[in-house]
Amino acid sequence: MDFNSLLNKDYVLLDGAMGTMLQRRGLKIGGLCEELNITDKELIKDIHKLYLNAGADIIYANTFGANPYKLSKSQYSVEDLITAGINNAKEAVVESGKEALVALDLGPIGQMLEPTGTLPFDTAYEYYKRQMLAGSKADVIVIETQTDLMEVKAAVLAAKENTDKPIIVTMTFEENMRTFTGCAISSMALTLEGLGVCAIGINCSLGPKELLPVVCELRKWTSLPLCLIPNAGLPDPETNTYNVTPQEFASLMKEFVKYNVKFYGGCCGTNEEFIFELKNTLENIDFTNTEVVEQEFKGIPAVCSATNVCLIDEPRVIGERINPTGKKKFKEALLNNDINYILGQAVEQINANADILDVNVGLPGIDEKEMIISVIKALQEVIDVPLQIDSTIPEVLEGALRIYNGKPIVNSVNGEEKSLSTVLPLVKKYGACVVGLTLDENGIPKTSEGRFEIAKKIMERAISYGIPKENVFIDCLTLTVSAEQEGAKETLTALNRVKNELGLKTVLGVSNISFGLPNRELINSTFLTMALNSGLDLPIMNPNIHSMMGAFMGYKVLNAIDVNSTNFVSYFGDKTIKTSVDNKMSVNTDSKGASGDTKEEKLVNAIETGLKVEATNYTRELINDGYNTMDLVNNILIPALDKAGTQFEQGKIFLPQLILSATAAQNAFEVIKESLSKSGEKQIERGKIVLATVKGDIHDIGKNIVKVLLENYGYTVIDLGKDVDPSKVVEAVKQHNVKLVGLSALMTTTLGSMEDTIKLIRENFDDVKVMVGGAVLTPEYAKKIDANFYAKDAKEAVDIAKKVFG
Amino acid sequence: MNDKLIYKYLGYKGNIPDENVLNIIKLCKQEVLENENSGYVYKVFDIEFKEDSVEVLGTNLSLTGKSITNHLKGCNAVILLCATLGMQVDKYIKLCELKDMSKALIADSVASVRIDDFCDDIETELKEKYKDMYFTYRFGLGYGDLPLKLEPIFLNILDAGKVIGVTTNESFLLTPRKSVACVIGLSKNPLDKKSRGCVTCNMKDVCQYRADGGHCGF
Repeated sequence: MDFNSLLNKDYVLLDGAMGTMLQRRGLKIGGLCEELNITDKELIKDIHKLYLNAGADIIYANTFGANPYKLSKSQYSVEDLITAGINNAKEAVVESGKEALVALDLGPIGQMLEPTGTLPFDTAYEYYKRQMLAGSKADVIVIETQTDLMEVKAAVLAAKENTDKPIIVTMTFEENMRTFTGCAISSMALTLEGLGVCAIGINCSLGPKELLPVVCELRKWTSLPLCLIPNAGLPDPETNTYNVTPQEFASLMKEFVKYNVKFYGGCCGTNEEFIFELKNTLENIDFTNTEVVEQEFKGIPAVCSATNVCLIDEPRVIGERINPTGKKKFKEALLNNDINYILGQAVEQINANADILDVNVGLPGIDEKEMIISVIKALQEVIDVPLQIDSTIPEVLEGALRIYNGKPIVNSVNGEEKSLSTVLPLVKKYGACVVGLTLDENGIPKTSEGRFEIAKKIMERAISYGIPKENVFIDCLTLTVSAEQEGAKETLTALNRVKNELGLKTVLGVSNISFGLPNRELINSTFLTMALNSGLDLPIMNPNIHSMMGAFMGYKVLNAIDVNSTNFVSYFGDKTIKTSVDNKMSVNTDSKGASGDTKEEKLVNAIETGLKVEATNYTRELINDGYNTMDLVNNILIPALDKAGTQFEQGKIFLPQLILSATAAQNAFEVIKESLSKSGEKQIERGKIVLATVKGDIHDIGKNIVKVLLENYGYTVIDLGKDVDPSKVVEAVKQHNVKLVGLSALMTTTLGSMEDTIKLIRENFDDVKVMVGGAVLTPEYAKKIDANFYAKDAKEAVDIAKKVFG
Repeated sequence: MNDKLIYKYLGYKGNIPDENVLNIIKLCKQEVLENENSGYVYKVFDIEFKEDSVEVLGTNLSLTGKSITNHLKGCNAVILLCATLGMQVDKYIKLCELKDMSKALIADSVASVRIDDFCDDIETELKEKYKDMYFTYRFGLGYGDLPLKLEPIFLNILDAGKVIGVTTNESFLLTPRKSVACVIGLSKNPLDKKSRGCVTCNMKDVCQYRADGGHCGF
């Protein structure tokens, strides 16, 4: 028997719980039940045989928790326990005289992956790889009880890259249709179908009754065979027993036949009787005459993050702002590793209704691959919209595709042979969508005919690699109309033909059209409307520009896509509401605004009371009035900040107010920086400081507060983020030639990493000062671990910086 | 929610925040609740006292140290409890940081108070369920000399990863961040009135609240 012949059966029977069976036989809770593979192999084999006799077609070896993290205290290795586990299952099959396959069963590692947790993706991959290699004798690989799609991806890649076995993945969903990490059913389906697993489904957490809507949702999003492994109902915390009997279980499971579920089994609380009853029930079903529900969204392209799907069944906006081209501040942020700036750009575009975000971080002088990986990881921690990975370098694309949590768009491939043969295999392997640019070795064809031909070629090549046609989007390329006036029409004709004759979705960066013309916004929005009307699905544009979004939303109203104009009304209605809420959050609710007679006094007052908008406005006005920028900094901003700092020390104001003041001052500084940059004057530069929350620690709010204050005083902060390896700190100090490092730790258990980091700094540099802070630190401890300074709070960190830089 | 505790966490030392900050607190409370996907899991076990440790019967967890042994004096069973506000709250706080650092700080403090309140609610429910039992206060892993390193096995016993999505890492840091793992002692007979205090707290030497002559509100 092999896996493919099993797929031809009406249904495939899996086994029931292992843990439940072991606990009923006296296993202590909390122990490593995989050790029994060696210490009591007959017990394990007996349980396998019970399931084989009940009719299981596939049995799961007792290897669920046999991973390097969980076994770190065991006397046995991953290889010992997995080999023994597979052997036990194989022996049980032979001894029972039944025909069945043996699955290598892999549960979650037990640690959260970064950025939410601290386990690096590559480590997770290595853990799974070790398990895959150890389980080489298994017939099937089962990855189950997962809640983090990122971890699942690490496991699936480890399986695909190190074995050629069929893979079944089941994840654990709650009644709200999400896993604990927020992963949506639709995202799971799109991502895993893209990665090329054989079957997907749901196990654990709930009973069959509660899982019915979950399976119904899953069916909408995939054509893959489904797998269902519920618990025996819900558990009683006291007795640890479940509330559904084997008969009830089997009869509830019957309901799933109409969703075309192929694999049926039992999770927590089930035993051989459940599997036996299940077999009896399924055996009596007339599968050929059962009407089944088909995949609802078949053939409609969709992309997703782990939490959110964007179905491209109507025009969607791809935000273009995460891109350093022509943006000085963005470039600076990349060079200084200022990820929060980039996150800010993302949040702004999402608030402006972008559906997908393009991510391009290519800049001379930075490692593009490393940068795109850290930017995507950071974006994934906070935002929900799907991403478009923008690079033409295959290594950069692959680095990003590996750690992307969901189904992304690759931007881009083109008609050149070299591009087709390097980019398309990646698109196939990682199950992405791809943008095809209609250019090749000979450049951009002038005519629509030429571009259409390249589009066709890209589509055909993609299909030959096994990429579904609907995952190919074509960009017919916008040319500047002031240079080539006939070009716009050619672009739109090509776009229309690609859409109608090839049946592909289309992409277009629209803003290039207006270079060299006055009133660019008008040309851009007119062109956007024309393109949409010619069949454009995915404009790449700046969603923050009101007239562009207006044209886009208006088009949807006039084409009856935005039913009842609901989105249009809420977009334009929402704008004002949003602004007023923002003001409430950040600005003193006192509507009087900043007090004081002169503009100088008003600015001081705005900073003292934390009025962001006023601080920006008065600074701008003072500069326009001819106020010297350095005087503004030295005579107004710094004294106002000092005053807030002193009041904080004296207990007259408190931390939230201090930060409000600091944020208002930050806004004022932004205006000054802008003005200096325009006039070409030297920027304020008081010294560079590296900040990091140490390895193992993810509590970084304190460090981020320190950062805001330091920046206020004109220090450039290289923020390395949280969970930072000591070597990264040393690297940054070297790269930026930094004299002061600030380290934070919140847990007693991470003070060790702080000490290690300081040690490594001392080994590498003689003249670098280190300040430390965090709830569990004391001045004495700071001295003990060889720090130069202990900062009680953010204010003290500023005082220390002043001392160091003079 | 306990407003005074929120002010305390924000460093107000007995003072009341100004109207601006109070408004942000109000907004954060609402948003924390909106983003909350809380869950809890508990199991009840009999215990056996050894010298300087308490064995949780039927598991291979041994609660070690003088402070927990003292805490459970007179008890015959324990509730192992793990509770969380869920992953979305972490994400919400991070998002606040991007927009407004002071709001992020406030949201963080509000969420810390909220998880404590949530544990109070659970405890009330449990007291209703185990009416004829007397309860000790909640003793967190890491309090006194009860080692944090028991976290992995503690979570494993409760199957907390699977049931409510709580995991730990090599530094014994819980994810999601607003999560609690603690032990409650159960006794058939009235217990000596113990209250939470600074003595068992592992932060007592570095605590800012104590340095200022107060306490964290326990």
